[in-house]
Amino acid sequence: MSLQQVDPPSRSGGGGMSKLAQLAQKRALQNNTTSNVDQSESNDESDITPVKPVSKLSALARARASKASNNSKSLETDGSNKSIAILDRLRSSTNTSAPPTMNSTPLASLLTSKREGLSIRSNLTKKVNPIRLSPPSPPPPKTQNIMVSDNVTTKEEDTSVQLTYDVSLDNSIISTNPVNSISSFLFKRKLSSSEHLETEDIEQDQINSKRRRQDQLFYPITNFEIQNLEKLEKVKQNFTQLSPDDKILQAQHNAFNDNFQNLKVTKPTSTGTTTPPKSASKSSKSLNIESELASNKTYAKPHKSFVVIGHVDAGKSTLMGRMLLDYGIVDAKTVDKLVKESMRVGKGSFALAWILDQTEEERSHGVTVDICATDFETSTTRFTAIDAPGHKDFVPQMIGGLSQADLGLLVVDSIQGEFESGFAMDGQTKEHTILAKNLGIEKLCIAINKLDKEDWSEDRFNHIKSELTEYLTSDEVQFTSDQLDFIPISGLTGNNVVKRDSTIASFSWYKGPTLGEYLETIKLSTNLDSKQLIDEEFFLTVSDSYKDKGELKVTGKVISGIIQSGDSIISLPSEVKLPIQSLYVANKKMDFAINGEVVQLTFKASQVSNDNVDPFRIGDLVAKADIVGGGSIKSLKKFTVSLHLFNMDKPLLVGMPFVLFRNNCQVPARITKLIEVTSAQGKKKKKNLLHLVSKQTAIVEVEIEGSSSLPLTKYTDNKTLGRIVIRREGATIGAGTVVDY
Amino acid sequence: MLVKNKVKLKDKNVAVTFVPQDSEDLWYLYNLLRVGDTVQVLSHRNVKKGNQSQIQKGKSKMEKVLVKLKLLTEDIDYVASDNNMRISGKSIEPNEYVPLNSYHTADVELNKDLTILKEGWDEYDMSIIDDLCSVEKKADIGAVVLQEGVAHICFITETMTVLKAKVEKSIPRKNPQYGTRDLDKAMNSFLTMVEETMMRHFDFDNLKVILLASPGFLAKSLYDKVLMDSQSGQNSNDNKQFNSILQNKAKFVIAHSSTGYLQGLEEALQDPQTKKRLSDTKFSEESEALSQFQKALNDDDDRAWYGLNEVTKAIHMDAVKYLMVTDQLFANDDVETRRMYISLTEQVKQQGSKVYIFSSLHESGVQLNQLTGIAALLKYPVPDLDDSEDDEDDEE
Repeated sequence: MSLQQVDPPSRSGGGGMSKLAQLAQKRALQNNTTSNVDQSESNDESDITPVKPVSKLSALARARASKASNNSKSLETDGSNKSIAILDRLRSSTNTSAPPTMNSTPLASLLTSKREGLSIRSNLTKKVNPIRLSPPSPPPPKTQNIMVSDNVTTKEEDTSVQLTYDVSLDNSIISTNPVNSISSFLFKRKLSSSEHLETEDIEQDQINSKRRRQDQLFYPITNFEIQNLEKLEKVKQNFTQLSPDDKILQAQHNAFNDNFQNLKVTKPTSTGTTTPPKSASKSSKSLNIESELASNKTYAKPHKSFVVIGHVDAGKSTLMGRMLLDYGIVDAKTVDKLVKESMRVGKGSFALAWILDQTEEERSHGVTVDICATDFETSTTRFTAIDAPGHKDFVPQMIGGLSQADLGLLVVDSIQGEFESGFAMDGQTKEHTILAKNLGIEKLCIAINKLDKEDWSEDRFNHIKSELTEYLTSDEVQFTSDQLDFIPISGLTGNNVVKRDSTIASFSWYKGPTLGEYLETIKLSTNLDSKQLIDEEFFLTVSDSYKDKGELKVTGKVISGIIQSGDSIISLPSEVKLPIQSLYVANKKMDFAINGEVVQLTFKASQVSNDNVDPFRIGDLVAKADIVGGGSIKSLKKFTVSLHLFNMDKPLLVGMPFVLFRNNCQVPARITKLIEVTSAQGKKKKKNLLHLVSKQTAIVEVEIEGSSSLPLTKYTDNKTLGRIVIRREGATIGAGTVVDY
Repeated sequence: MLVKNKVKLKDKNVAVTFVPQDSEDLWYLYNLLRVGDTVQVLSHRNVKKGNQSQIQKGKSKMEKVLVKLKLLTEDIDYVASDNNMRISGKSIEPNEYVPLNSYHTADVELNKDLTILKEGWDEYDMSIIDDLCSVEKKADIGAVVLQEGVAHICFITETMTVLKAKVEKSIPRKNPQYGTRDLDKAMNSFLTMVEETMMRHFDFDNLKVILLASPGFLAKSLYDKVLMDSQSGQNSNDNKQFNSILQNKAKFVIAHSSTGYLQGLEEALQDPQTKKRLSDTKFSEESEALSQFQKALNDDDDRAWYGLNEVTKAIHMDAVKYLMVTDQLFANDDVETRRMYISLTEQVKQQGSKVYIFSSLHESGVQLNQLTGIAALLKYPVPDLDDSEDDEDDEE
């Protein structure tokens, strides 16, 4: 904090700070006053033990003691892991800071190696060991860069030593760049070029100052590893030859190509495991799925889709905007424009959220209304990221987002009072997690946001963590503790989202991965068994459909099975049959798509015979055309559901209307018949029972209202399509599974 | 509705002549009329003209003749959305075209006389007639419930909710490639569709309130759009309707609902803001009673009971605070059953408690119908009201 105050330009890495940085700083300043108070308060509360690790342990012990009995077990494992981590660190062993999930994954990923480097560095720092000059890294440029980043981020004198290593590459870094900027890690290449500008061509520098300022803050290259020695030299040479503008463009261009090659070489050597190289090209046209799956590199790289959920104003869209920016999906120019726009209407902190909140409505009210899905790719993983609205009124849209995701990213506001209100009875934190659980989200990562406002207080983090763990593992939600992970972040400043600012002393307690690292390494049980894929029935839920240049474009998630370009499909319930013209995954044309992927299908609009019917509506189901009649899927008006009810203020009467959600499809419906109350209850039942109260479980017959019907399967046939959630008067009142039809 | 005259006939039956004036009157008539009543009505009948041989050869001409008929009612049919009520029955007074015992189905037309003869007019019938003749103007509400892509346009009156039209349009999502281009376009055309449908169905001068309800900001957007369009359309050719919108601007109420399906209407009407505007309508009083009942039912505090047996017991114990009955029970053709329900309500009234009769054309009535049609909120908890003598299917 103090560092930022004393030396603001260093944070942004140069003279002109962008507005976003200014904002972040302003926020930091504000926070300084409050956080001081907070700290003293928290100190009073906890009888202080001087040694840091001990206090951490004691905090944990206290938290454990105060834990409700039912989830104490989970915390115990968690806690012991942590304490082990601390001990280990003292013993200067490596790679202990990872949470349990991380440990369980093989050290295959690039990330692990990064962390390894990191922890070694910290050990060295602690011992003030003179052997720092021999960095543990092999020559590959990747590790090298990590070393640089580490130097820059640790403030001790060893940085200079470490930096000498760099000096040999490029002395300009040291001479002009202050050591405490995190940006230099991610923006290194850019920085180095700008250093050149400063030293070598001041005039040009001034001419391009505006452009450079943007680049320093937002330069989007995080997808790719920073280039090697030759690269730097080449850039140097280029600078003397070309105009800076051309040079930058060219350097950017080249960096992409070269780094991909580097990735291929370095990754196997550094990790020694099976992480496959990035897919080089598209597969052949042959449609032998089995061999295709085995050979196509794209499928060796896991696909993960996650949805950002949480209470309104928790910072979901801002976090998403931050990730897109730091992963280089959105360019700095766009963001700078948004910063200007948002400043103009006095909503500066919304700039990042506006990347996703594009409609006038969303911007003027400052809330997200509809979900927004974005595909992007990192060196290890293909992502589909979905930003969901947090406001109570837009839960239906958020359900649509959940249905497309495997992983939930719950954002909670850590600010005193804000967390509590989001977590209170009618806060959306609760409803969203219940929905996530009941719509089949298998892992929930809790991002504890805005922790910069709480001065990165570990106590606050642990407090929220224990409270949420208690709730999420309770009977109401029924997550198990190994489905939950907690990561402290700040979406607005970006710390610990994709990169980490190690200059923040008060954040030094956190040893876990950044959010980006977490998302890349987390294991999901997405099934990729080719045999099973081929046998499975193909289903896709439509999440978007529109007409464009004579083509009908339909986006959706493949729920199960496999689909090939050219296949004939049927849309339910409209029963329109069409052949697929082409098929895109993450905007890349593919021959087929498999289970779990978000895919765009295009059809010839001219082949739609009946113009009066919308062949694809949001929530519709797409199946292979030959499936009708034979498959497990049926379009129904009436079916039997095993329904579990949550807390309600009114009973659910037979005949009372509610909105039924199946996946991302919503229809109005009613209970027509109460077949049996199955929840065990000591009380004697009314004979002709016609109503259900809170927390009951019952078998009921449900009828869809109006003329439409709902395509679905039994829960036993398909876990996703056989699941329903019901809402009434703006609250989620129950969830169930289709047992019969 | 006009009640023209009541005549006591020689056979002690009373004949009442009505002139229905609007669709709601038809609903009252539908509730008043039962199988077995005699109806005197003017109706059109297709009659074959010509002599016997022509008829046999199929050469006769069909002709529509206006006839005055006296029918013994056998079936009554009412479709709220069509404003249509039909009575079918056997002719009991032969005339030139219609022989005795010949069947006829008569459309009940607005502003035409209709005479009903009953053997006995009971308390419920009388209360309906009282309602019918009440001078005060009924509260007519035009309502639009909408969400992105779905809108329901309906009328709410004292006794019924009529869905007039449903607008559906699929709206694309925000798209990283095109931003909000398609979405804005689709949204705009959706709102235009809703607006046009609204103008087609609503008579802005005669409605008491125009209710717009949606989740989020959609209702406000619609309101803004309607106002903007009428302002700009003021000087165009068909400015009449636009003017009437602008004149009745104050009638618009923007409410909140969690969904755009018809069930959102109920929510919007419960909204305190809306309630204020609709105060002293029968409708809001009833729905208040029902929600109190539901709350008690959810708390499971033994104060809320439904089902005829349970409620009858409670009435005998003088424990009833509110009695809620749907009009469907009174429409029962079995005189005995009907009489029993009437005596129950009379009993409750005598005990000084309130009786609400729900119209089964409202959502609240539909729900009550599902709960056997009769329910009561008690003054104090009475457990085990459902313990009956026969405990045969006691266990679940």
